Amino acid sequence: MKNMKLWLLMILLAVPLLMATAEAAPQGLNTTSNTTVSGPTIPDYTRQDAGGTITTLLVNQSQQTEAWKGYVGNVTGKVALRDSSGYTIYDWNFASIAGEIYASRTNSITWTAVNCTNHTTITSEYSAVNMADSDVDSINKTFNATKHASITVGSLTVENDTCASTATYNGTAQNVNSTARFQEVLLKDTGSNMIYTTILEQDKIGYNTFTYDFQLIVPDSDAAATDTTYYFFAELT
Amino acid sequence: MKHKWSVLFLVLFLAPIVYADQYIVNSADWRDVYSAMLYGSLQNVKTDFITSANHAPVLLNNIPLDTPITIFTSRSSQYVSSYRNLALSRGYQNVTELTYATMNLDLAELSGADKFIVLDDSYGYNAIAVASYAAKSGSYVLFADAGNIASVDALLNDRNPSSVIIYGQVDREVKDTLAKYAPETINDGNRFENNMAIVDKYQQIAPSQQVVLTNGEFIEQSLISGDDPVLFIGKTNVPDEVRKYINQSDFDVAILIGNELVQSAVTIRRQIGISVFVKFARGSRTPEGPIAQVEDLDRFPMPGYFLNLTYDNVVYNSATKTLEVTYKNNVDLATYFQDTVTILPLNQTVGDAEPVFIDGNDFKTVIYTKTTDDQDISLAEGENTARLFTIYGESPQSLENIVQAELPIQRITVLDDSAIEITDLVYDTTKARFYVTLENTGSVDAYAKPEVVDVLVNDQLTTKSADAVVFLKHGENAKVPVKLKLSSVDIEDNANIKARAYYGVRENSLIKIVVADFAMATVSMAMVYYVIIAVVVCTLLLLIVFRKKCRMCRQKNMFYRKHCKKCKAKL
Repeated sequence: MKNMKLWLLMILLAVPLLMATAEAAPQGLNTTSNTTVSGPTIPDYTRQDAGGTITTLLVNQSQQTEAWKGYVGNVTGKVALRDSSGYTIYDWNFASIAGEIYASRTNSITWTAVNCTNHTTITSEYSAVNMADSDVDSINKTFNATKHASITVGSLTVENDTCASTATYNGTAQNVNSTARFQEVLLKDTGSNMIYTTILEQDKIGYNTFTYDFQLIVPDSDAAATDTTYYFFAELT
Repeated sequence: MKHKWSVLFLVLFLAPIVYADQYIVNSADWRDVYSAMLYGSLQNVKTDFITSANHAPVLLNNIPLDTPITIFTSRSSQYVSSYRNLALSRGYQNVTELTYATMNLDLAELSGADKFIVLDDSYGYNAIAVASYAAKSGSYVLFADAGNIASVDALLNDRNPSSVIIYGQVDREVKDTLAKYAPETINDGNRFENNMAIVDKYQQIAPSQQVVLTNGEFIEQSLISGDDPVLFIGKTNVPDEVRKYINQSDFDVAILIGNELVQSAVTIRRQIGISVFVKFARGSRTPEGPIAQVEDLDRFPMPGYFLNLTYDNVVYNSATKTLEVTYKNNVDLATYFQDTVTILPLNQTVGDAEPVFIDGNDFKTVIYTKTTDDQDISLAEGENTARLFTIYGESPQSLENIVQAELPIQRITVLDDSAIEITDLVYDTTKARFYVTLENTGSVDAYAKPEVVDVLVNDQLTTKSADAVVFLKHGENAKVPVKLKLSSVDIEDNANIKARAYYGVRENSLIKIVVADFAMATVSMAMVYYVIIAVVVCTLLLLIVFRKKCRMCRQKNMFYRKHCKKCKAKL
């Protein structure tokens, strides 16, 4: 009898826990903000998807895509970064930033061994951001050039024109070459973490005629209702 | 059979924690945040923390809706009440919220760790210093002081730990209680030396060519992940010991977390030469369209000690050809400083060979008699300026702050013929203070302020000065108290005590120094005095309080009387 009472108690206590741990039903997509940023007018022949997207130049078409997101910013002088309490101003006047801005989904990059990305890393990235190589705006189709300036990452040099690359919008579409503004290159580290790397400018006109030190695009999962998290790194000189 | 059902019950109870893909900490107490972050690292579960009520909903923007979440909520310091309901209202289905009063100990129970690092939470930076090593080595960090050591001991007793490390300064009760676990102790005197020692331990178990740079002032994911060792580099000045350490290490790359220490990181880059990256931002979580500004990293601030040293004045004494610089310590924290002064326009340089001690809320005048190339100090005609550059910190080896200024040099002509001697030094165990006997042996009146130097208190060297400057007429002596609490063990540890007194004819410029060593001598109120006082008090009580009241005439009579003084009735 005593044992029965104990089992009954366990079951009664376990029931709410079982309910709490029940598998969640699949969720539908939540609508993200579809604020349209100022920029060039999309010609009538392009497809205007809901949700607001960044425009990338694919061959001779312009097509809206939900699979990419852009980030812009400055790393010189007084830098204002928003946090949960508002904005914090940092003084970078005595620092000098070299070369590149890096963005990665990983919190921790192994900087001692960085090189051009490869097929394995890109495939893994597709999986993480719910993208397929056959997509019209896939990573390979977006970074479809191998034209960029040489890059120094720490003590390592990535030679020019060796990695997958592109160059983002700077008020007008650019030809991708080693002198373009806001060149972006795909790198990886030894842990096969993708590193989206943009060559630093200084106060150059970006996508929307304002000036920035950096501008880059990163893939964003269009299946998840939440944005993909990226962390940003810069190298000091 | 009964045992199997008990196990099943425990599994079901722990399931929300064990099988969660995401932990969130809902607490305004850094100890809870730290404990949960470390717990998450040990369990290999991604952990985030709320930094404000505004931040609570924003945090969820980056967590997929199908993620099982466990929320660790502080019973007394939560940012958001019923954060679980907020998550459920956003569409999350699998959310558990657990509330704790003492998260550090409760999560220690759950962690299953049998290796522990014990430190005092009064020094928050120590927790950051050990976090990466703890995560890498599978150790859990326990916060212990005299108040909770019994609970900590009970937990360790249950665990039979394979390793206990005591890190940094802890209460004596903690050391005594944990002695039975044969702990390793890391306490080399200042936060930088201790931190370097733990980085060495990290390198022994997981050699890395990368190091993460910080200064122990906030919690951020990278600091507790265990991916790389964590090194303190100072706020604005990188201490010499740290520079040497990096130079001699195998580190090729450093990663600075956050933006505040960019100045120190630049120093490392330029003077030591290793590559330095800054993790300075993250993607925005507040939907604002396809293109966004980056936002700051999620960081949880730690309580800290903020030193504040300024300059009071700079004076050239023509009579003695000396330069006097007076410093002011604006906070109630003892500080050490080391200065370099350039006298303009003649470009003469003077400086401190060794760090100088200044007590909390105190002034200190340093006198320079020669330039650094051993020349007499002189001023040009007209206005002269002192360009001052001072590094300062909480110990001589941790001069991590910088203050600099240009001040006009005032001129005086004063001959200081004062002479003070330290003639005696005793420690009063009853009043917990030293008494320094000063004698004015000079021909003029003088001001003086004594200090006791490098006294070993709970295994830590401590210098303490008197609360105020004393005035001594010529020929007079005075016993000046210097408050410092010593235990009986401390008294045994200090066979000799060094006393130092700054003095001079001007109260605000104590430019002369006298030093003396004494064998430790103690005094205490003799027990007989306690007995005498007790007898007197008891007698007074008997006389005043314990009186007999006559039932007939209500007259109060002394306790020893048998008949009433007034009506003679029997008492």
